[in-house]
Amino acid sequence: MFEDERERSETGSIDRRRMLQTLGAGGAVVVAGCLGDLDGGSNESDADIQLLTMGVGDNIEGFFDENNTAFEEEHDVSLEFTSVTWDNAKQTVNNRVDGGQAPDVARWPARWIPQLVGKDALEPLDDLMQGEFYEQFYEGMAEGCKYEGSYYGVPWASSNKCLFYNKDVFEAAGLDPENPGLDTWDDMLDAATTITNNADTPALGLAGAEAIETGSQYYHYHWSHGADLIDEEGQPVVNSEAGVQALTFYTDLHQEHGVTQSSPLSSTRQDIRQLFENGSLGMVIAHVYAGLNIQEGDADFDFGIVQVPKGPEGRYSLNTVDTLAVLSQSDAKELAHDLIEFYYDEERRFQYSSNKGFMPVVQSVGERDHFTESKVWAPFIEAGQYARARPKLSNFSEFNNRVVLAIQEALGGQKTPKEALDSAQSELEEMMG
Amino acid sequence: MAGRNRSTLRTVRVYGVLLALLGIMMFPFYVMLTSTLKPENELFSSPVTLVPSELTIEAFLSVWGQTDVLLWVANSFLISLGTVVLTLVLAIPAAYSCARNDFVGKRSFLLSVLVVQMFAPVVLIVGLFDVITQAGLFNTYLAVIIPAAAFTLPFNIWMLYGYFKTIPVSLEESARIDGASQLQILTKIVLPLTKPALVASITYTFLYAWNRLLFVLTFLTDSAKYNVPRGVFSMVGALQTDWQMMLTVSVIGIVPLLILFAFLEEYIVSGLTAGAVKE
Amino acid sequence: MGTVERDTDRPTRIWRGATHLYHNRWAYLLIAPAVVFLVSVVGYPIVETFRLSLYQSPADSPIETYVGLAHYAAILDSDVFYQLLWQTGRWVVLGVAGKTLLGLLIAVHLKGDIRGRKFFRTAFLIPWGIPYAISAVVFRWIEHPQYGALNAILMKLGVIDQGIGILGNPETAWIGVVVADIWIGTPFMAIILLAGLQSIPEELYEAASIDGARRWEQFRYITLPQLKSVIFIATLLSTIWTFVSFDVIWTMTRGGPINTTSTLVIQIYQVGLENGDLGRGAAYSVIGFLFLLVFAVSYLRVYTRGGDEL
Repeated sequence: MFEDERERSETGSIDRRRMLQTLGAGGAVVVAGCLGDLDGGSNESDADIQLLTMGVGDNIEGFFDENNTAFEEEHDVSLEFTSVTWDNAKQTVNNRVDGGQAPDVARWPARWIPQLVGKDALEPLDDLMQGEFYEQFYEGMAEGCKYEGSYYGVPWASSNKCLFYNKDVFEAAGLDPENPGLDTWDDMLDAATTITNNADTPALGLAGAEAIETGSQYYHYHWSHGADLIDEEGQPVVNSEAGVQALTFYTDLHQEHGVTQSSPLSSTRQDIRQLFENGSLGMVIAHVYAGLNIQEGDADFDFGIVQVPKGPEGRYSLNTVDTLAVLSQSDAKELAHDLIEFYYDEERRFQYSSNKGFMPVVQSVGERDHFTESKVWAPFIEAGQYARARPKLSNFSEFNNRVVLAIQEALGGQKTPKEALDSAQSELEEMMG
Repeated sequence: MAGRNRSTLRTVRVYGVLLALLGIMMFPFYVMLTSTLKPENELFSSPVTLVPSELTIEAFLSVWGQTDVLLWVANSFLISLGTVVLTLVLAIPAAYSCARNDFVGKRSFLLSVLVVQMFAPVVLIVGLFDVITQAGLFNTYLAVIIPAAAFTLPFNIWMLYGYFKTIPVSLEESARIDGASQLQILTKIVLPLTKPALVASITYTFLYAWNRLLFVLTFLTDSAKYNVPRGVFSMVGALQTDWQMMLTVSVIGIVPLLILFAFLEEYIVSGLTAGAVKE
Repeated sequence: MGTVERDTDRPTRIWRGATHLYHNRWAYLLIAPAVVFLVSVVGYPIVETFRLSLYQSPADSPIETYVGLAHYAAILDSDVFYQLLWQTGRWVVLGVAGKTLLGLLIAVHLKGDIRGRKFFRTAFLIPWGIPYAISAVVFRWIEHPQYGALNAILMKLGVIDQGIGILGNPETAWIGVVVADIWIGTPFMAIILLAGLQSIPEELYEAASIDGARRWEQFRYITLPQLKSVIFIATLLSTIWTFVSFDVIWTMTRGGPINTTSTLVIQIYQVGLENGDLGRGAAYSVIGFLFLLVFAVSYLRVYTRGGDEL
């Protein structure tokens, strides 16, 4: 049966793909007809505008419910709200773009902008990103939405990192919980060694599992040792002397000094954060969210937050910006602008940032006492000066995956840090041509 | 006397094996169930508590109050039932045809049916998306039912084919002599004899559609049409994932299934005597 | 000679073909709906997979470039492919064997008319009713180095004094994922084999016990031969499903650590969707398909050679 199909399509001179596709679709329509429409005629979405976002936990669901309804009433339209999981977000949106079913407005990480722009799938927002509207954002974040001279998104959420430490554990190990002295990586290692020798709790959370975030955790070490991921020409430079030093330090924390939780190769960033939140870890590099979570829960320990330690060549805090983007397929672009402006009402931005645990992107929001006066938020606002983003590469996830493999090889003792980074480098060179 | 001892011994052994197997098979479920009944902060204690320090139904209450779990269950049912009906309507005639006739292309037919399953759905989904949207089915229940049926069809055809073959042709012939039509023979004689296989087929198809996240995730955007897995995974947050709620919804999702299994079980037992005919 | 013969026989052959079609018109009509359905729904996606495997189709551009067999050549030339092949084989063979044996053990013990059968049968189905990805999450927890139930038990028993990380050890991680897959897949096997056991006539066993056959002999000479076709179908399909299964590994380890739990399908996802190299992913997909096809055809052949009809 498949043979017939293929033969027929080869003799035809019209676009084979289109024909087969139509044929398939025709068959599916027939089936649909035979079964009767189970949905009572609601085929495609009949909403006036579709908003897609990712990872809406129960802490923010109410925010969207309430405001989407308010928007619907204000503009007398219907809005369809979809939240997809982060794991599937990129694929789902790409499938929908390819299939002509793109949402009108979507949350889209700035680092994924090049990929969709390459497909002509994003609408430039230059006419929106100017004047007063533009000036409300922190400049670095607004510029993070720019690609090839145009703004393809409006900053929506941002995150960065600090070092959390458990004051109770520090005290139990004989360290001063109020002056932890965690300025450099070596300071951190000293404290970790003391904790390992004097307390039962594992001293330091180290991510090593096969996951995107393992890269995000490691890059702090990489950058602060003076190493880079790509050079100005966009070529990989992961195996520099400094890079080898950084990875050596990272793996030695586990192999040589044994100051980490057990089995880091199976620990994701979420695992170590969770351990810290439950008081089972001395230190961890994490988002502001970890702190909010501990405050909210009924944890029975005290914690402190300091900046990510400094390396020989500086201090960095990995910064990620997500945007709100308009898809070019949208036939409701004006309404899409209205929706964006609606959500950038200052009060709504405040609600969002404070509920969700993402860093404010709007300056006037970030300057509110809620953030500057808070023990948890303040260090993160301060960390803004150390912000560093991942390189903007359209194939960054492939790049990142390869680096994570090298981290794992070194952590697992299969290769020395140098060997691991050297083979990553040569494969990355090949990949990026 | 000796015979009775032996049979008692045998019963004990059967129960022993069954209980041991049950223990192994239930352990993960036990972990899952107790995780929904523990206070939330106990989920991530190290080492974990095997027996909850206290039992609480807080997670169930918050799932009940905060999520559309009933809607998800109802949608799952609708999608699963739709898939079962569509699959059986297509599979029964095809399987019967193959079991009763020896025609050219039968072998290739049975083999090509399997081809559908030999591609990883994660790649096929790209092309499937075009088919679904071209057919105007995007965001309808059929967008999930149709692909699910395509993937359950192969097993159903093979399973039913194998069973139809074991039913003696003589039974059908005598009915035909009595003047029964082709359709009557199929529904009144063949299908009742195939009950165990039908139950297995239905169970498989129903659960396949019940557990499938990928199609719902890709082809449905309307949250009013979410099924249980999609509902569960809508709780995976960017920075925070409410594991306890996820597990609780999953546990709730099993309850209607268990009722259904128990019901089907009755059916298997009643169909047993008839099903035991074999050449 | 062959051509001559075919030429002279041509009218007869066509005639014979037409008669065959006519005589079997009902047979063809009955399979037609299934054929039309499958071709409409998955015909295009499958053809599209083949087509894509010949193209360079980057995620960041709408332009596709024809590259011929370059993807295939690159894959066959890479070391990682052979590593994945071995790991996929290990995953499939152990997984299918485990599910079949455990399923058979359950089915055999559930066959008899025992008290509480209904309870047992329903209980054994539970793993099947949990979304795969959720089961995988639960297994990842059970095997978790810090808050895993398995460690808690082993520690209580005094076997270990510090948590071990099965999934974090490149030597053992594959065992951790195979166990989860077996757990998920066993109920299906048990149900299918049970259905098969139920259609074995009781008289066969009665006759055998009169002849003084032991339980084991009955199993070996009655049960197994009678179950042959069911076991055949179930293992054939289970092999295919295990080969293409994705959720369990992805949720538990994403193929790590150091790629030791990765399989061809994990690679397809990472290359084709995560890295956006759809053409390369499609080529992997076609290679996987060819392996399965060769397996299915030879498995069928071995089975029918034993004298059994398909």
